Amino acid sequence: MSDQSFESVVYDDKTVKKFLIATVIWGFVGMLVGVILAAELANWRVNLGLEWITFGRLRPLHTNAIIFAFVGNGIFAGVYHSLQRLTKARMFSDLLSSIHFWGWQLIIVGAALTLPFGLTQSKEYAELIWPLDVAVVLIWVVFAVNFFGTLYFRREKHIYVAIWFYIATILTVAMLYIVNNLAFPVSLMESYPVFAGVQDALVQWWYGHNAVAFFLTTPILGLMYYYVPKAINRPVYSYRLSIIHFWSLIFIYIWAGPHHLLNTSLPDWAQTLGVIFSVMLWAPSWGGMINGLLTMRGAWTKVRKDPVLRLFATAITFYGMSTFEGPLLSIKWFNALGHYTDWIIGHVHGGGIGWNYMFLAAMALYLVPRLWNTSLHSVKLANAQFWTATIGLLLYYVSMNTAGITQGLMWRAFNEKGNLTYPNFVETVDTIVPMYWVRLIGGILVLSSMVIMMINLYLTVKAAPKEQKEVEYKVPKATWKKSSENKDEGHRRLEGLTFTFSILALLSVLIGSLVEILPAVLSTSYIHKDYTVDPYTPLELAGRDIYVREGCYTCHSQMIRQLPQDVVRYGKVSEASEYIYDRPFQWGSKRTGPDLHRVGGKYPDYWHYRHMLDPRETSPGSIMPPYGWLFKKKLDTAILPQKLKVMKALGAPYSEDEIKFASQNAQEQAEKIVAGLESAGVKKSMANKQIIALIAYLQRLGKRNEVAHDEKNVSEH
Amino acid sequence: MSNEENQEVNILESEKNLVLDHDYDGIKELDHPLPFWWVMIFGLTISFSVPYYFYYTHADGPSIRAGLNEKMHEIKEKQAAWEAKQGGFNTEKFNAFFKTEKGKKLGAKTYRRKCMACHADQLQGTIGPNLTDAYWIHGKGDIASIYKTIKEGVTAKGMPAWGAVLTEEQMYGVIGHVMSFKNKNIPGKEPQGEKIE
Ligand code: HEC
Ligand code: HEC
Repeated sequence: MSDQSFESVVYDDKTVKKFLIATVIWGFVGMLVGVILAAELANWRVNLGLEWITFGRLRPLHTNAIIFAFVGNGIFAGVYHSLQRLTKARMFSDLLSSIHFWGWQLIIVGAALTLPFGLTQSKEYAELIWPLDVAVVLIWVVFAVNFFGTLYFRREKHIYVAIWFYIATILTVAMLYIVNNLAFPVSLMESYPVFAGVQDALVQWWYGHNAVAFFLTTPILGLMYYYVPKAINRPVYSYRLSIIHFWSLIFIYIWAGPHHLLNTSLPDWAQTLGVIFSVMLWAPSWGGMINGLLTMRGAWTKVRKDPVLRLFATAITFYGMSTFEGPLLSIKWFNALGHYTDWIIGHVHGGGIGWNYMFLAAMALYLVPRLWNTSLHSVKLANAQFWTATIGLLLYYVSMNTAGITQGLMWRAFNEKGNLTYPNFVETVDTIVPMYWVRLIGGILVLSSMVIMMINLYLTVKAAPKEQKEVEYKVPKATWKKSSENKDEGHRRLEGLTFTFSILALLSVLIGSLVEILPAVLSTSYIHKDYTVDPYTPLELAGRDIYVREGCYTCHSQMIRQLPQDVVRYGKVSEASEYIYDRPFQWGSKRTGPDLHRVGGKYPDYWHYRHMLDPRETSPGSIMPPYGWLFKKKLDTAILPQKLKVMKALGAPYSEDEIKFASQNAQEQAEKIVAGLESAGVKKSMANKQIIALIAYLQRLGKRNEVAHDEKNVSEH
Repeated sequence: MSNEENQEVNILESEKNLVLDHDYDGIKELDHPLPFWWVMIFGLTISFSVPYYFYYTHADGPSIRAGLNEKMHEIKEKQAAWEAKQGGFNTEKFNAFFKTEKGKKLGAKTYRRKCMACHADQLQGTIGPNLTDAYWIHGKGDIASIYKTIKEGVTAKGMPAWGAVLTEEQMYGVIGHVMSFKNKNIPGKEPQGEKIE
C-alpha cells in the first residue's frame, strides 16, 4: 500500500444533518397521529365529528407519514452518510442532494394537505393522489441519479453489502411505485386506476407487501451492515451469509404479496405461491438477523451498558420476531384466524416500532454527536428512551395480539345449533375495546420515548461547537480504475461491477413480479356464467367515490372469503367476476366493522340514513364515527359525465347517452331514494346531499343479476 | 471529529484466521461458514414448499372452494339436525316461560338490544312497522306468524332473520314482549298491512 497516492475528499454531511432533523420531526408527527387514531378506536368521541380527523381520513396520513416521511428520511440520512464513506467519494451532485431533500419534504407537506381532506387513491400506502405520485417518482429518480452517480465516481473498487441492499431498494421501489399507481386522471385531484377488482388487488398487495420489504426492510438491513459493526467495532460475522441471504431475500420477497389475499377470490395458484414464498422467506430474513446479532457477539458487556448498542440489538431482535411471525401468518390456518384482525396491527407495529423506530433511533443517537462534533447530551436520557419505548411496544404488541386472536376466535365460533355463537358483530368489538385502551397507553409511551430523544438530540446539538468545520479526509486514489486487469473471482468480481450487479438485482425482483402479476393482469376471464354485473349508475359511482374519500376501507372489508365463518356471517362468497367495475378495489385489510360486500338490501334506506348520522342509534355499542357532514354537503353532479367517460375509456360499457345525461340520471335516482324516505320525515331537499349517493352505493353492494339456467347449475353458497 | 477516525476493530483470538482482506471504511468481514441450523431451516422450508405447490396446483389437492363446500355441508347438516330435534315453535314451553319474571326480563332486554333500533321503545315503529296497532303485514298478528316473521325475517324489506341469532329463551321472551304490547295502539308509525279485527 505504500506506493499508493492519496487525495482528499470532503463529504457532504450537511445533507445528512438535514435528513436527520427531518426524520426526527416527521417521526414525532407520524407517531402523534398514530396516538390520535388509537384514541379514536378506544373512544369514538375523539373523532370530534370533524371530517378532517375522522379515523378513515387520518389513518392514511399515519401510515404514509411513518413509512415515507419518518423511515424515508431516516433511510436517506443513513444512505447519504454511509454511501460516501463506503465509496470514499462525495455525493455525486450537491444540487441533486438539495432537490432530493426539499422535494421530499414538499411531498410530505403535500400529503398532509391532501389526505385529511379526503383526496386519496385509497390504495394502502399508495394513497397519495396522482400529481403527488408524479412528484414522488421524479424525486426518486433524482435520488437514483445521485446515488448511481456517486457509485460511478467511487474510489473504493468493491461495493460493500450495505450498498447491495441500497441498490435493490432503489430499483425495486421505483418499479413497485410506478406500476401500482398507474391511473387515468379524472381531474387535478382524482383518478381511476388502470387495473380493476381482483387485478387491482393483486397489484396493490404486490406493492403493499414489497413496500414493507423494500422500504422498511432492505434499506434498513443495509444501514445495519454499516452502523452495527461501526458502533460496536466488531467485524461482520459472515461474508458468505451476507451473499446468500441478500440474493435469496430479494428474489423470494417479491413473490409473497398474495399472502395478503388468502382465501379471497384471487385464483388459487397465486394464493399458493404467496404461501410458499412467505414460508421460504423465513431463512433469508433470519440470515440478516443472525449476521447482525452475531456481529455483536463478543461485545455483549458493551451492549448491556450502552443504550445505543442496546437499541440496535433490540431492533434486530424484533426484526427476527416479525420475520418469523410473517411466515406464520401466511400459513392458511393462521391467516384465516388472524387476517382482518388486530393481530396484523400488532405484527406491523412489532416491525414498525421494534425494528424501524428502534433502529433509526439508535442510528440518530450514534450519528448526531459525530456529525455535530460533540458527544451525546445524556446517556441517562437515552436509557430512559430505550425503556419507555420497549415497555410501550410490549404493551402495544401484547394488547393487539390478544385483541386480534380473541376477536378472530369469536368471529368463527359456532354453537351447537350450527349457528354463529356471536352473530352480533358489535359484541365482538366491544369485547376488545379494553385492549384498545391498553394499546393507547403503549402508543403514548412510544411517542414519549420519541420526545425524550428529541430533547436529548436538541441539547446535544445545542452544546455542539458553534463553528462546524467541514473535515477533509485523506483517501486512496482509485488507481484500480486504470488497470484493465481484474483478478477477482466469483461474487467478489461482481462487487466491482456495479452495473452488472444492478441488472442482476433488478432481474431477481422482475422474475417473481412477471410470473405472478402478468397472467392475472392479462387474463380477461373474470366473467361468470351464472350472473352478470352492471356498471355503477352515476349516483352509485358518486357514492363509491365518497366511500373512497372517507376511507371506509380502513375499517370495512368488501370480500367474503371462502371460509364458513365469513359465509355464514355475511352471505354468498365474493367472486372475482363481481368486481370488474371496481376502480380502485375496496377489499380492505381490516375489519374493525363488519364486511360490507353484501350489505346491499340488508337494511332499508332509512336504516343507513340514521346509522351514518349516529351509528349508535341503530347499533348500540358501535365504535363507528358519525358522518354528519355528508348530510350537509352537496353532491357535485357536474363532474359525473367526465367520470363516466374515464370509466368508459377503461372498459365500462356506458353508452354515449348515459354519459351525456349522467348528472340528470343521478338526480333522478337521488329523488327516488328521498321519496322513499319522506314518510320517515326526511325532507325533499336532501336529494342533492352526499349521503343519498352513499346510500345508493351501499344498497347496490353485492348485487348481481342471476342468469336463468337449466337446473343443472348447482348454486353456490 | 472526535469519533470518526477508525479505532482498531476488535477481533477475537479465535477469529484471527477468519478475517478477510476486505476493508470498508474500517469495517472488516469474517469468513464464518453458514450456520448449520440456518441452512437446515432454509432446506426444510424449501422441501415443504415445492411439494405443497405441486400438490395444490398440479396434482389432486383440493381447491379452496372445495374445502369450503365441504365445511358448509357439515354446518348445514348440524343446523338441520338441531331443527329436527327442536321441532319448531313449542307452545307449551312458550306458555310456561314468557310470563315468568325471568321470561319478561329477558324479553324486554332482548327487545332493547336487538329490536328497538327499528321498532322504537314502545314498539310504535320507526324503520320497522308499528307493532302495537291492529295492522299486520304478515299473518294476523297471531303468535305463530309473529314467530315465523321474527325467525325467518323479511330480509328484502329490511327485517333481519333472528332464528340464528337468538337463543330459544330469548326468542320466547321477545315474542312475549311483542304480544304484551299488541293492540295497545301507541301512536307512532302510520299503519301498514291489513287491519285485523
Ligand atoms: C372506525 C372504524 C369505522 C369506520 C371508519 C367506518 N365504520 Fe362502518 N362500522 C364500524 C363498526 C364497528 C360497525 C359495526 C357496528 C355498527 O353497525 O355501527 C360498522 C357498521 C357499518 C355498517 C353496517 C354493516 C352491517 O352489516 O350491519 C355500514 C353500512 C357501515 N358501517 C358503513 C360505513 C361507511 C359507509 C363508512 C365510511 C363513510 C364507514 N362505515 C366507516 C366501524 C367503522
Ligand atoms: C333493521 C331494522 C329491524 C330490526 C333490528 C328489527 N326489525 Fe322487525 N321489522 C323491520 C321491518 C322493516 C319490518 C317490515 C317488513 C315488511 O315490510 O315486510 C319488520 C317487521 C316485523 C314484524 C312483522 C310486522 C307485521 O306487520 O307483520 C315483527 C313481528 C317484527 N318485525 C319483530 C321484530 C323483533 C321481535 C325484532 C327484534 C328481535 C325486530 N323486529 C328487529 C325492521 C326491523
